[in-house]
Amino acid sequence: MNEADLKILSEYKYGFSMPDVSYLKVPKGLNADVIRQISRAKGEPEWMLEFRLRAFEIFLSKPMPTWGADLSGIDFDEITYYLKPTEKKGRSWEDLPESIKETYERLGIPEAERKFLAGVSAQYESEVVYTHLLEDLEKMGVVFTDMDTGLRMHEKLVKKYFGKLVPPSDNKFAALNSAVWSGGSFVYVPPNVKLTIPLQAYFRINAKNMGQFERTLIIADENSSVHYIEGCTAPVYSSDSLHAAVVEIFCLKGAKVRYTTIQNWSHDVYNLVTKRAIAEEDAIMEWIDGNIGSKVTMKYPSIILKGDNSKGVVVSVAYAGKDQVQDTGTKIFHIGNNTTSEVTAKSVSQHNGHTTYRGIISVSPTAKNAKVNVKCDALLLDDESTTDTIPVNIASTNQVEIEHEATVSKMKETQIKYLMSRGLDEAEAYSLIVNGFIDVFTKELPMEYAIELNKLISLNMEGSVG
Amino acid sequence: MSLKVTSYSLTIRENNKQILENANLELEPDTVTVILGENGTGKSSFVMSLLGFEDYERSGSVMINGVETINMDTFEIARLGLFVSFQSPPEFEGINFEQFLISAYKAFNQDTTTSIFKIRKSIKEKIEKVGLSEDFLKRDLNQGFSGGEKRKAEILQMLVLQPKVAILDEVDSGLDIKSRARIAEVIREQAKAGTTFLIVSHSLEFVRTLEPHRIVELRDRKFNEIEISEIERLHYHHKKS
Repeated sequence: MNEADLKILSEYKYGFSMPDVSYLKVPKGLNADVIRQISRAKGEPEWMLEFRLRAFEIFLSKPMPTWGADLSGIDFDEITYYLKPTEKKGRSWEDLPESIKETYERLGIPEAERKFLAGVSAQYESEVVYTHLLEDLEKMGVVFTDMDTGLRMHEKLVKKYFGKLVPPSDNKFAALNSAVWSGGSFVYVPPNVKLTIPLQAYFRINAKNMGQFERTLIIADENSSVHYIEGCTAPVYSSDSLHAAVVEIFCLKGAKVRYTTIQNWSHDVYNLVTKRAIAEEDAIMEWIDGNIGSKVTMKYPSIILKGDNSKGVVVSVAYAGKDQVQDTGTKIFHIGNNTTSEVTAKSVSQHNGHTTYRGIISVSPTAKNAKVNVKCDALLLDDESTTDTIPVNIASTNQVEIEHEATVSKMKETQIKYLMSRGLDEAEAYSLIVNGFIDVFTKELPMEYAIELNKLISLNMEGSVG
Repeated sequence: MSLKVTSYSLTIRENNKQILENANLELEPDTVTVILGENGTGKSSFVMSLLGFEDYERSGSVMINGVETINMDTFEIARLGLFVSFQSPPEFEGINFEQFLISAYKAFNQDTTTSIFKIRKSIKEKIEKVGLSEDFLKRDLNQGFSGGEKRKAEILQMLVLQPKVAILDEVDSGLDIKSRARIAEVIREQAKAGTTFLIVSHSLEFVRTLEPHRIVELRDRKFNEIEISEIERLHYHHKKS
């Protein structure tokens, strides 16, 4: 990234705002009427309402997952499924837990952003810089908007792709998202357009874009390339306890998509997200996925390597602190010939936190010359914390090269002693080691994210993040 | 005095082995002192114990620059300006040597004002003195370093941190003749610049090149002063190595 890019990034982080037209208030709990109300308020086409209602039926018929983390704390009747942005704005700064305020302070988050992140303000103040950027994108034919607007303005395109990669029947939470989705991003990059500046959802968010049930759809047309960044490193405070998002990404022939997330929900949130991408011939899909916050996360970004010579990359990091469960991993399906997948997963557990790496790599019988490389490393910082590695490699052909490596290591006492003998106190020594351990992930991030991530990990390790 | 150990008794907790009993040792500022002693007398345990690790049971007094450290935490002792080299330093994944030196410099000296660029510059100036190349700084700390590289890396740390008291434990072992001469020169120079040295070594040749001000022998749980001319009689030393 050059200096000019950095400057733009730092400037446009002041974001933009969009007027909101919604005046709907729905009661807690979910039924078909609530779904109709949501759809009507958004002025959606009939097919989307039908899609939602069908998804709701599927949601009701699907049992809760019997594997993975304990989800018994979720009470579907206690959740508000749609909030108009003005209601979100209604929360006052004073109501926020002290721990969250302190974290914003220590991370040095600007005032306007703090209020937004905390749900006190629905939007950022300055929109000038961002508008210029949007104009530039528009000239190239790029669509970058919230999902609701995307549906209104580009219905044909949305209809072609929406729900095709993650159908409502995929899992209970994908069904729930399909029934009540709101917000998220819609991105279309035309053929041969290569974007050099990442599209950052966080900086362009208004209240519509971030919610518990976001829906994101990215279509990278032939030979295009785009880097999309979701979320932010600062803790996102939510008074509701469930975040069930769906992300679908289509990498058409020769396209390259990188999708970067750093999830840092507050520690009472169940974060259950379905992310899937499909890569056509010569396409490259990369998931850069960081999970720091939430109470429970279950997330396995997946890639279908459909086209010949397609490639999938997953680099992830999970940190589980006090009472946190990070159940993360990936699913990759090798279907085309000469496909490649590379997975690097790092996890850190501390203060009785639990991490699980859960991965499936499947090579279909017709996929010739697939190459698979999986590396997962877990680091335990104390005796109370635990980790599991559950890798599944299915190769239905012998024309495949699979390398798999998994390590679990404990923080070595000699490392701490050594660093302390050089003047670092215990907390500084721990964070230096952890930041070193996840360096392979941090290196993939834009600079300002990398710096914030390091700070954030240190704060979490002190146990001071709410 | 830079380091003053008084009535110091030391036992290794793990095997209950007593290393020192009411021992005394005092180092004058900016001098070079060598500790000799047979294998197993506990020279390394003694120098490591000064960092306040919990592996040792100890009593008596350890003053560093006039501050009593016997009940202090390791990092507090280090911040008083005590540097002890490790014989087998641990390896660190993902932390490159330069990045570590910068963090260590700031922590050791509690210096938050000197810019990273200035620290980097100072590292680059010092790296040649110990005979390492600049690309070495990009490697992960101690990861895959050879024995000789580890020793040089410890010396480089000492030069960057600029401690008031530096204790170097067998930093000459595994070094070739040229490197050893270079290290001896670095130590002599640094002593003139204001660091007090305590050196543990088994090589008489190295000890001679150091031109130490004093030599003490650890024997029978005490430190005994010996004359430089006497060291030939110490049969346990490598005459050449």
